[in-house]
Amino acid sequence: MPRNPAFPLPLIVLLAMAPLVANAGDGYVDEIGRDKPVAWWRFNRPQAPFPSLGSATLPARTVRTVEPGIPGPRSKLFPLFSNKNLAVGLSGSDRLVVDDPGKNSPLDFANGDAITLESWVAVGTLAAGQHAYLVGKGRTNNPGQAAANQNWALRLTGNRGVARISFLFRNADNRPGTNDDFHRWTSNTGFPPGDGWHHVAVSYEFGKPKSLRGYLDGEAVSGTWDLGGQTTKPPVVDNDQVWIGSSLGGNPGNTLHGRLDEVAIYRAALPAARLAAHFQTTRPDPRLAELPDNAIAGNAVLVEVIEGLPKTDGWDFLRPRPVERWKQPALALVGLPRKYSARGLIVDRPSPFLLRLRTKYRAPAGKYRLLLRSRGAARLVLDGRIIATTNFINRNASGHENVPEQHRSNRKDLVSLSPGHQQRLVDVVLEDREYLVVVEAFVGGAGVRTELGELLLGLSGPDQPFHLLTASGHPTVGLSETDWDSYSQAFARQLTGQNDQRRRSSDPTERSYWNQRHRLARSTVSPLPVPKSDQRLPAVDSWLKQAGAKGRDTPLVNDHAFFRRLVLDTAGVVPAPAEVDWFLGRPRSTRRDEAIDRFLADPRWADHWVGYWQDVLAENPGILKPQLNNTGPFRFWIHESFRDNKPMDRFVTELVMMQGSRYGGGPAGFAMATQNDVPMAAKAHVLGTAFLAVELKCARCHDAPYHPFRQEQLFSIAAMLNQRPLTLPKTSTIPGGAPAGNSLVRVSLSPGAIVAPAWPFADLVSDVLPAGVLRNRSDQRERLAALITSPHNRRFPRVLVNRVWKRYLGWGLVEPADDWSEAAPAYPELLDFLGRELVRSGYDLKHVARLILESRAYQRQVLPAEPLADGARRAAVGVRRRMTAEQLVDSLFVVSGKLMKSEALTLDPEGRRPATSFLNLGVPRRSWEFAPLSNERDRPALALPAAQSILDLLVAFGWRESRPHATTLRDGTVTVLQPLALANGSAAHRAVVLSDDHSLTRLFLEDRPLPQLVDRLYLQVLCRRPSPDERADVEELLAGGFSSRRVAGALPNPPPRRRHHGVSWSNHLSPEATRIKLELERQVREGDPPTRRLTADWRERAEDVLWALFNSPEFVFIP
Amino acid sequence: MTGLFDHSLTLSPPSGSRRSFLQAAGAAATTPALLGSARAEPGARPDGRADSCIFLWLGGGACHIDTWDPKRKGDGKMVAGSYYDPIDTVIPGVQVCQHLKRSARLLDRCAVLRGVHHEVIDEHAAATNRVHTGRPPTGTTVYPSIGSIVAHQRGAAAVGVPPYIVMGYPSASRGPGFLGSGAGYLYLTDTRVGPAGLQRPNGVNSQRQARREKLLGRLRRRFLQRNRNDNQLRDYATTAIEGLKLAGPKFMNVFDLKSENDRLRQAYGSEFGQRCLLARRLVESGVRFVEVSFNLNFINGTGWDTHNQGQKQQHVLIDQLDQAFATLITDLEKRQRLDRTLIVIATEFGRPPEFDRGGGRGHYSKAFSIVLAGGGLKTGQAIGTTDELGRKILDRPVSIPDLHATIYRSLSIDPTKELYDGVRPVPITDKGQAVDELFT
Repeated sequence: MPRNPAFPLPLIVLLAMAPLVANAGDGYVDEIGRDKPVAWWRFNRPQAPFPSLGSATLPARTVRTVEPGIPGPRSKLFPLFSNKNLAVGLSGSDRLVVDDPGKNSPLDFANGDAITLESWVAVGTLAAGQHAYLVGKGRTNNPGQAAANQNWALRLTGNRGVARISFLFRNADNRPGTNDDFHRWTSNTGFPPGDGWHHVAVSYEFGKPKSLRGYLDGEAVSGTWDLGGQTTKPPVVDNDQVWIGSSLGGNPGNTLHGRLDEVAIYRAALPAARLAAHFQTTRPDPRLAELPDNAIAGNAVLVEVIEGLPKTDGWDFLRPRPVERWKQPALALVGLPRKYSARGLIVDRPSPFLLRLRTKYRAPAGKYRLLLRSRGAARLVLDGRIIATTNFINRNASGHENVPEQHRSNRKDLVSLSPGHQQRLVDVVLEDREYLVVVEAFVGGAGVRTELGELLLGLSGPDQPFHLLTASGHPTVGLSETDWDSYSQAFARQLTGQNDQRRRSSDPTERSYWNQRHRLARSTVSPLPVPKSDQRLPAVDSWLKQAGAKGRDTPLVNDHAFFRRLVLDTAGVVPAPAEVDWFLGRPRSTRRDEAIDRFLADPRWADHWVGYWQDVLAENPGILKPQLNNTGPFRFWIHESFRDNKPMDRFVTELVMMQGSRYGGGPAGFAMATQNDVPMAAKAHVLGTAFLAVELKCARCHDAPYHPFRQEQLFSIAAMLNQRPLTLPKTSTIPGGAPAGNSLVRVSLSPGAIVAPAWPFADLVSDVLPAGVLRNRSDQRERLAALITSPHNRRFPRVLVNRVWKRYLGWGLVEPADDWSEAAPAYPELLDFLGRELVRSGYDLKHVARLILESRAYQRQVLPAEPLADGARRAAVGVRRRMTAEQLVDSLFVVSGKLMKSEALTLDPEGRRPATSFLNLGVPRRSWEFAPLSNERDRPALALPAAQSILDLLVAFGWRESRPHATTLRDGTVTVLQPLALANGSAAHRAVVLSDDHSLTRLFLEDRPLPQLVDRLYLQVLCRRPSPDERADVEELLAGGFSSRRVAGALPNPPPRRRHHGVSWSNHLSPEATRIKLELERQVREGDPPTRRLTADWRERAEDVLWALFNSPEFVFIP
Repeated sequence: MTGLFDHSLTLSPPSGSRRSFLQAAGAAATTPALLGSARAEPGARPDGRADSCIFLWLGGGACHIDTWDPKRKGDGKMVAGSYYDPIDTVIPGVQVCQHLKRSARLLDRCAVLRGVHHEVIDEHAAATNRVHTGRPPTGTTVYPSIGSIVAHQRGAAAVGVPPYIVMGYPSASRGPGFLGSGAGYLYLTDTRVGPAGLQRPNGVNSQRQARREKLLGRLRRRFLQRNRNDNQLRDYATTAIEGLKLAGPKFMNVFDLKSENDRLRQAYGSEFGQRCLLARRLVESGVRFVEVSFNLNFINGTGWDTHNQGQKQQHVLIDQLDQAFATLITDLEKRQRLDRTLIVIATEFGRPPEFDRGGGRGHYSKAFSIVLAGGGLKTGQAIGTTDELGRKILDRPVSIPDLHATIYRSLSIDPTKELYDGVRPVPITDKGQAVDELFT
């Protein structure tokens, strides 16, 4: 049904017209015809020149390679058009040119003239800060024309991931060398590139600055004169040409990259209703119907997200309709569900946006104190009356402020205020009736991250503790430190589930596209029949047997060791005691297969894969002013991809397409490479090693000496990622050209050489793609992704399955896993089999993982890793692997049952800085969530001591805190730092100290005999029972004082909360900030307070046993 | 990204296949293990006399015209120029700022490089990285820091001692990059506490430690017996034993500054001075490279990054630097180690002669000063001249790679040699030339 949300009245008219439109097949002619454009290019011919259908004869001819005859907006989504409507495609320096008929031409606009410019446009890509011309007069750089002679122009401007509408003209002063004579209006909102067809328009009466109106998809949008201000001055008028799609001599940065249709110019300011009538769509409106206040019930808090707000701080604006809505029990938020695109990718909400929380509330009559807390501006409205308002964020955070006085409530019932937050207390008298309670809060805004912080409304009666305002029928939630902690934790858990649900329902079209791709793949790749075997061998072992692998004498590892190995390889941590109990409780004959099923389905599967791909894909976010070849934090997209077991061809495609949020965790973050002269060349290098095992490192600057690759090949992929030709900068070449003498280094490209997008690996797969694979044939990134993931590309699936094999067995069927230039597969048929299985399963990595995990090859005892894998390769059994840094650290926390208690990874916890310079990666719960702490300034006040203590351990065991380049195999050198970090480091010490939050403290307090406790201890740390000798050692140490170890009547000694110290970027230069952080460092070194419920003497001996178990090589190596 | 191409132009093909070369390189790389015996002296330049280096780091960007390269005075507001008066030094014709009075009397033991420069100014992390690695970052590898390269090339000067220690916060800029963790550092942030990982945790006395190690020894022995012939496990176990030795009293006593006499401790002064004293003790124990960060920004609000208000108390920083540096020189001299110990006072960039609106200074990297002392160099000279306000280098520019080459040469490390990132040869500096005037 056509829609026209802003103007309900004309909707009726449009509905009445609908049949007529359908009959004519091109109702757009009627609509535009009514408004009498002076020029109107429809591009419905298969080739140029394109006539103008307006009142003047103004043919448009094409320059360069404008692509005619491609699909325009069509009837399926846009009922005014026929289903054969055509448009033009542009990129590079393409443009259409219309000559000006001369003096006083219908294309000239002077003061007093009204103008309306409109166009339909489908944007391919639009970089931040890029101004792409749709149509404009002048500023062509044509010879003989004044520079900057812009009479008028309609453009799109890339800003914060969306295309905004831009209107530009130059006043008649046109003084050379100044920008002051430009006058530019930019809309506050826009649409994301790659989002299909949109209708954009502006109207203006020259000389009347307030007359500017902008329209997106038929609706008025607000905007600001953001360059040169508004003016009454007349525009510059001359006889220069009108250009469509480009400007400035065809500068690629000013050229539209995408499709264009129905460009029209009117000599009148069309009224809003007319422009609304030009845009009709059956595309669903993302916005929801308004729910009136009287529809709000008291049994839930209704939360709504309202987007499309003005950029400026202030409450005085018309509320657009909400775009999201959900219910929850309490009036408090400590995070927001993520927003996903139709491709299931994390996208940014436009900044700022508004949250509206509404509920009906009834309390016994009496006096109450209300408490509103927020980070950004918020207000509390009771029955329509504003009773409390907090301020807009103070953005001036230069570092010289004082650490704010800690909010110290003398009431124990109130959690302290988080950094950068504000609160208002209001005393009210409530009657015994229902009130409408509304809290509105801004999130984001110009110059700050779109981060919520904590938003809550609490209340207390006289002499009563504070509690959250909770909808009727839900349990009361207190506001003490511990109550708030558990609320926040429960909220975060709930949010994870909510995000999963949202993401998995966001992309139905995408899923059906990939199902179709996988059907095509299955019809392309046939299965390899498994060799017949006399036993019922798993498939992998049948292949190994046929190939004569020698390992059949190596016995299978015992059940305990198998289980520990399996859980480390899937969940990335040692098994918890309850999991061991479950495993041992299953029937002997099936327990291994059952365990494989259970742990392949475990959500921690995703956690374990993130660290791997962070290395392989060089994910390298910087939390402070990133400058060291940093990317965005696309870790969150990796995590979600593996949570969803996303098909690997889709995973690669999303990475290559680089869409979604740049700083918020989407694959757009992969596109970043700060301070890199050719970011896309760096990305081409990463993709080459990750998915094709072609190592193009040397080709970055010259033809590779040890590889058959030329620099041009790397740059032609880079150009595909760039969507247009790339110029080779001097800095990516050898100074002085090819080196003299006896050198292997060859140079075939000179600085300044232009490399066009092209697929350079015809030997892997030809660059012809089957029909229906590409959804946008002009998108070079999509083409590249499709070629890498094509079922005809045999390299891609084999590279992936080899990576999985190497991860589980410690050696690759092909080595090195990321560079196959001299590849000699150990078991080529097995590799081929697994590769085909990957393709035929729909690129399901878990399917391949299962084939390996269920094999005897995986389940046998391992061989020593040194001397290097050859023996193991011949035998086809695994080699001894040390835990990765992440496995080790996460396992320590699993054994101790403690929380990591790291600080949030940000140097701006107050949220007063933009994401471009200050990221907040949140509070890590698993090791992959850490990032370098960016204290190159060496300031104690910028230290994050708790995070640093965990980083020390991670770094010692090979975790890369900085990942400017891709790595498959980490540095495995044994250094003293590793055992020392485990023996003495603060993080490991926390796992040893038997504090009241240690799971072994609870165990040791249980009324059990000593041998049983020792058994459980071994099970919990090493996943096995002790040998008699080991048991004797431990019992000898723990027997003394065992029976009296429990201290009667002693109370728990909970670790102090380390939060809200108030130090942030805004105040880190103050002496107080340094003092606070040094004190925190001291506290972290000191560690958790031990329990008082065990005698100190016995507890210390128990800790010593635990320490010895953690420090034994057995703990650090995978069985 | 100049200098991205920085490997050998005289690359010669290794004999045999690339893979066998890789294996050979890999095998060679397994020997260093952070804690080492002294390595064979590299034969390079015969004129390098130092065998250890104390690298004093003035993080934030110390203003050259307020310290080592004084100019005509400004007024702290509109008139650009130095903030302090100049004073004469023992080198005729060479002046420094008035707050470096102790160092002025010892400047014949120093060489002031006044023409140091690079082009990174907008961000501390990037400039810090540049001065530590001598190269712009790339997307193909991570370059090692100067400390890691020295550790890698020279190892420790004594058995059972780490070659490289940082007093300051850990960061990738100080790290080993492609040289691998064997060339990494131990770090500490407080002289009263030993390095992270070496200091025993709270509540663990030597009796408990002995009990822990005894039980661990038994567990380990049994585990290794069950897994004979596994070199990896044995290496790990051996290294763990070495590590616990390192954390034992012999090396940890080096950190006990209380064992020095009080007069000397007072002579070193502030916490930064105490770090310098500890640095001296560390190089005496055999540590090859000690980086000492002067990061105590609360002294003046901003540390050496003297924007706005930070300028007002900058002289307190300079005074502390002066006291510690001068004491370090005389102390090393007394112990007859100055000729064998190269002291470097480095920073990520200088600052412009103009003042900002708050009366402080911005960043400036086109010309700034770095000071070398001792190390058997031909000291007693200021090398390079800048224009009347320290904006432009008039003669003898010294690039960061030149500075690195100079430090390497003084430590008898061949500044033209190549390191290997896998098979890829990487010259130890990015075309750096040692400052010849410093060598006899």
